[in-house]
Amino acid sequence: MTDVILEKVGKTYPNGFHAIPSVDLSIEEGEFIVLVGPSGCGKSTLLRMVAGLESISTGELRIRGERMNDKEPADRDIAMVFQNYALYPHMTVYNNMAYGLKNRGMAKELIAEKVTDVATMLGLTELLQRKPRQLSGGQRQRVAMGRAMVRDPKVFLFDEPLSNLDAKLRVQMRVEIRQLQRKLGTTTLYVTHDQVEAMTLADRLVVLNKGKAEQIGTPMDLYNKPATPFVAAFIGSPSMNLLGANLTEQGIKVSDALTLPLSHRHRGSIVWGIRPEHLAVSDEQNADFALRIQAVESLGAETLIHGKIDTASGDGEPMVVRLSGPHLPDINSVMWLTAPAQHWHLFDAMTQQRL
Amino acid sequence: MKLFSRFMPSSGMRQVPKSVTIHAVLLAYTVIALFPIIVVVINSFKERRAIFRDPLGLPDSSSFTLVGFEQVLLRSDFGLYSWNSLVVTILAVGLVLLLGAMAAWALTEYKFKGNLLITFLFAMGIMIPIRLGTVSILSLMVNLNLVNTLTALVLVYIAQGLPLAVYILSEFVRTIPKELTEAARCDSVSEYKIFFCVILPLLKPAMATVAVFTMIPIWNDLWFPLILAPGEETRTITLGVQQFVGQYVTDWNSVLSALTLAIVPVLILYTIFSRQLIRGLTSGAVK
Repeated sequence: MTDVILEKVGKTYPNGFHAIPSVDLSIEEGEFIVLVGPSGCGKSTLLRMVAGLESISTGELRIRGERMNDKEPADRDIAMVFQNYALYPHMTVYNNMAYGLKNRGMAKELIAEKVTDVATMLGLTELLQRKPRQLSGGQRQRVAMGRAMVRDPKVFLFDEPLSNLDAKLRVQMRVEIRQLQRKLGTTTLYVTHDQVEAMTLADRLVVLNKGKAEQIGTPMDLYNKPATPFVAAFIGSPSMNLLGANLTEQGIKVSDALTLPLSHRHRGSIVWGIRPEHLAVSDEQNADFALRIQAVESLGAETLIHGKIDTASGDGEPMVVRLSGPHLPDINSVMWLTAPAQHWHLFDAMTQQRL
Repeated sequence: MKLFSRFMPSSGMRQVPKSVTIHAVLLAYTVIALFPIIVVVINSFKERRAIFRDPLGLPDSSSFTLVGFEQVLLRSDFGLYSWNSLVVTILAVGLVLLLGAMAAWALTEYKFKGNLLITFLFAMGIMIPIRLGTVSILSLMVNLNLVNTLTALVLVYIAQGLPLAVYILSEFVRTIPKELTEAARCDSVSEYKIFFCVILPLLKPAMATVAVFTMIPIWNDLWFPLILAPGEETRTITLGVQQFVGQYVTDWNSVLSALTLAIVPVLILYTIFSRQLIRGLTSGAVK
C-alpha cells in the first residue's frame, strides 16, 4: 500500500527563490527512504514540508490517501527526530517521551506503559529520571528517537540525526536505527548528506541536487546505473572518475593518451566514467593507459592511488584507483591500467543523461 | 597558597599578576559601591551628635542608640509604607516579566504585519525617559480616577519597565533553538502551552536579570509616588521617609533608620532572583 505520496511538490520562498521546483515521490508502507544530497540541495526543506514545518507552495502531499498540505504538524501523525535532538531541557527523559502523549490526552497508565516499553527497547530504563544535560550524546540521540517512537506515528522523519555523534557511535546508531525501523515497520523518511549512511540505511534513495530529484532507486541501482554524472559522483567512495570525452567512429576519445574502442550510435561530447574499484592493474601490452602516480593512501584493507593519465606534456586528467590489500608503489612511477568496458558509464555531456 | 589559588580563575602561575589586577579593580569598585550603604547603616545606630562628630566611626557604648528605629517603627506608618512599596514592586515586576516575555516571544517567533513597528516602539521606550510624560500621565490618571491609588503606580511602572524587558528577553528568546518549538508543535502542544511550558522555563535566568533591573528603580522611585500617590494611605517607603526630612530640621536618626530598614526587603528579593541567575539551563537541549 502506498503510504506517502508527493505529487509535484515544490517550494518557493516569498523572496522568489525556488528551493524545490517539483518533486514526485511515492513511498510504500514500511519503506525506508533516504533523501541525500550536498548541503543546500533542499533535502531538509523537503522533509520539513512533509512534517508541516514549512508550507508547500505547489503540488500535493498525501499521507494514507489524505491531503496534508494545509494540516498542522500535530494533525499529520508524523514524528520528527531533529539533528540537535531538541529535547526539552527542563524535563526528565520520561517526561520528554511522555509529553507528546499527554498533550494528546492519553490516559496516564497507558502513557507509563508505552514509555516503559520504548525505554526498554532503547535501553533507557535506567535514565528515565535524568535530565537531558546529564546524558551523553548517544543517549540523547536515543531519547529523541524514543520520543518519536512512543507516539507510534504513521511516518518517522529524521533530519540528519547522526551528524552530531562521533564516528564510532554513528556506525553503531546507524545499525540500531535500521534494526528498529525493520522491527516497527514504520514508513521512514531520512535526510542525510553522508552517502555511506544513505547507502546502508535506505530501501530506496532519493538523490537531490538543487531541489531536483536526480534519481530515485535502490542503493544498488544508483551504484550500478547512475542516471546522471551528479549521481555517479555522489554515490560511492571514493568518487567515480568522470572525464570529458568525445564519442567518434574510433570509439571514446578521452584524451590523446586514451582512446577506448566502442561502437555506439551517439556522436559528440560525452562524460565517460569508471569507478576507482573497477580499474585493474595490467601490463604494458594489455593496458588501456598509464597512470603517473602522485599520491598513495594506504588504508590497510585497501589502497587508494591518486595520479594523472600519463602524457608527454604531463597535464593528463586526474584519476583514482582503488586496489584491495596493501600496495606501496613509488610516487612518480607509472602504473599500467585497464578499464573493463562492462564497468563504463557514459553520459551525454549536453543533457547530462545516461546513454 | 591553596586558599589563594582557589580564587584564581585558572591554575597557571602565569595568570597570577593578571588575576591580582582584576581582583584589585573589582575590590576597589565593591568598596566604593558599598561605602555609602555602610555609612547609612552604621550611622542609623548612632546618636544625632555622634553622627555629626564622627560620621565614619562605629557606634560605641556611649553613642549607640535605637531611637531612630523607635521613631520610625512606633511613631510613623512604616509598616504601611513598606507594604505599599512591596505590593507595587511585586505586582509591577511580575507583570513586566509576564507581559515582557509574552511580547518578546511574539515579536521574535511570529511574523506579522506591524511586527517591526512594535519592536521599534519598544526601542523608543528605552530611549525616551518616562518622566518626560509626567504631566500627561498625571492628567490621564486624574481622568481615570486613579490618583492616590497603587494601581496608578503599578501601571506607570509596567510602562517604565516593559521596553527594556522586551529588549533583553527578545535577545534571549533568539538563543532558544527553534527546533524545540518545532518539536513541541509535532508533539501537538498548543501555542499557548509552548510558551508557558517550553519557553518560559528556559527564560528563567533572563527573567531573573530583568527582575533585578526592573525592581531597583521601582523600589527607589520618589518621583511618581510623590506625584501620583502622595496620600497617607498610598505612600511608599521612599515617600514615607520624606516626612523626617524637614525644611529647617532633619531627623537624621529616623531618616537613616528608615533607609536601613528599606534595604532589607530589596536584599531579600535580590537573593531570590539571583539564585535563578545561574545560567546553563538550556545546556542539554541540543547537541
